[in-house]
Amino acid sequence: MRFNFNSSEPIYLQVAQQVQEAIFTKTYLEGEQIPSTTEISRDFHINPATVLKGMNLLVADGLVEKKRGIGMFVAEGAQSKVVEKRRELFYQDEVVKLISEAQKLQISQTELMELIKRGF
Amino acid sequence: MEGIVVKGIQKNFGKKTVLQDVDLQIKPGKIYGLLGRNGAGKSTLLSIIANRIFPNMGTITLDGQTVFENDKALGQMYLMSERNLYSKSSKLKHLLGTTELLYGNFDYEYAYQLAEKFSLDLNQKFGKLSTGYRSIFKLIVSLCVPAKYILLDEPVLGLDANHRELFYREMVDNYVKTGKTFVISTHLIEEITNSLEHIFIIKNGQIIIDGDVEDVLNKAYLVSGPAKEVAQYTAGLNVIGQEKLGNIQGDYVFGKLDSERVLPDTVTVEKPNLQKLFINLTNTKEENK
Amino acid sequence: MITAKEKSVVFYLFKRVFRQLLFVFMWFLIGGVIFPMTLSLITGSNYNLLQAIRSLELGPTFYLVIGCLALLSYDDFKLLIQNGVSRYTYWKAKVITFIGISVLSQTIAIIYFFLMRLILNGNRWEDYSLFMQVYGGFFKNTTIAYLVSFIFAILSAGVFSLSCILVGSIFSLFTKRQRRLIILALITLFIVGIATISNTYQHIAFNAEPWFVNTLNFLVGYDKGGTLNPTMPFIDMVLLGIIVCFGSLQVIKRFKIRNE
Repeated sequence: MRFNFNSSEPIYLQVAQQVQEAIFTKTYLEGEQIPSTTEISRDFHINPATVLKGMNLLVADGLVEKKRGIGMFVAEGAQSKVVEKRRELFYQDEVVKLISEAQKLQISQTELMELIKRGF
Repeated sequence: MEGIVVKGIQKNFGKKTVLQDVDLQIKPGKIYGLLGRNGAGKSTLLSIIANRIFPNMGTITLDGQTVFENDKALGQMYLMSERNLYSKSSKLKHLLGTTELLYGNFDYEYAYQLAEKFSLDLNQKFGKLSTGYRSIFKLIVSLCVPAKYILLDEPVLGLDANHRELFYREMVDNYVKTGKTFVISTHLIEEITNSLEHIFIIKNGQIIIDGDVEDVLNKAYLVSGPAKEVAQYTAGLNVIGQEKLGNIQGDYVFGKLDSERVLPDTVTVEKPNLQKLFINLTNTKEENK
Repeated sequence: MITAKEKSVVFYLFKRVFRQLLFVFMWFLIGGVIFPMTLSLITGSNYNLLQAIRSLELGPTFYLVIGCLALLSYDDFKLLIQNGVSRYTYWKAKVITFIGISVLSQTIAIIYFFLMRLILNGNRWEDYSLFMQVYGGFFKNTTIAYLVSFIFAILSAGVFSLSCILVGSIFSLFTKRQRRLIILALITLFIVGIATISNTYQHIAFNAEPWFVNTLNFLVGYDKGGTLNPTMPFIDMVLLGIIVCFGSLQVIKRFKIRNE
């Protein structure tokens, strides 16, 4: 995990993103235990309340499951959920922007398709 | 009321007012930061809370009871101060023994572990230690003492980067394990920011910010772009600081932005980090120019 | 009566004072017995070990050493406030400690004295005790006179150490620099005062004011009939003890951590 403490992104979101990234890259496999709140707080000296807030986001998204007294585990189907989520984000962040820029440059839909084919 | 409640504290040294109308509450089970520049009044405030010096006005209570001359309340606090109150001729081992005698239930095992981690020989005399190792010894005591409220005044003074890192780690670990309350006074903010839950920023003897780190950061904005547009956009807002590079200007705004105003294309709004916010909040007017 | 914390502080102070006392005593023995003995061995002069042991003035030595130890206040206060102990508790524990250690040491001194008297034919208590010299004549029964004088010796040692606590705590209110200046001023005042007095009274006969003489007489229990009442010094001591005790509480309550 890596945190950018100088970034303007709140730390709890960074915590959630880092774990999500690790699930995506299969660093943590489904059903496997992820580092505890305590471990993360200690290793990166982040306030436990902050780490917990990030973890709760993941629980709410159904990516991570809490098992009482044992710890946190990657939920079944979490990886594909992350992939799905990132695809949606890809569309919203990249594709929409791409099209808007293309329109500004007066690139038509077919021309854009051609360009994409060329780059693929 | 639960926790430590500081009410209407005023402190003068001679004619100089060092603290004025300080009100704050330290609730159990949180890590607090008391941030301020040198001479802002951090140490004085902590010394008053721990009843080492007396305020000219105001009260300090712990769980509703005054801390003034109160063994029970004082026994629930441990203030690690920059000033060394341990006698120079005392052996560290014996100082641990005294702490155990007076506070009770000292965690020796942990203390010996920490001493090893920091490579501190407990058979030495306190007076023989360097500034850094004096800090380390006091930090070890503060982590092992059974007090519920641990007040740390400039805890990493004289510590090298590795030892600072080790301390932050141990403190957070200790916090998770024991649920103790930590109040950390420091002007080295960057390293500690993420460990804190709640901050007080003190400037010229007054508390100017009192809130959870996230809420405080949520209220801070850095508006930057061409000077003219930025000035227009931030006019009338609470601008606490300014950066200028030629025609480019960055205004630090603390508080709400005006949502009615149209943000020009050339102007961007970002969120500054705590360090930047702190510097701008605590700058004097002269330094801003 | 006494809380657990107060007990701990008494224990701490007692241990500390006891250790300091042992340390001072070790030097006292080295300086008073061992050093002269070694010197006599080297130079070959006559040295009477028995005489040295016999005339070891344990009582007054304890008196002075304990008084000096009672003077030190600020260092203990620093350590105790660092460990969450209030000023009141410190004061209470200090008073208990010094009364206790005074009583203990004077008792030991008296026992030592009589052991020496029995075994080594040491001094007579009548010659040794100031109280016996002044008030001894009042008692018909020697045993009672002895007992009363023992109690007085113990009581006065306790009150002396309490007075030292008061003086020491007053000094603790000042910084090191201020303390040095005060001591210097007091010494100067003392020397100049002595010089002035001796100069003045060299030529004029000493004529004290009647009220002064009367007060003095009252305090020592001097009767017009010429007898000395031994209850008066007891009353004086107890009153003085109460005053210095209360005074030192007032001073210690004003203790604070200084910038130095």
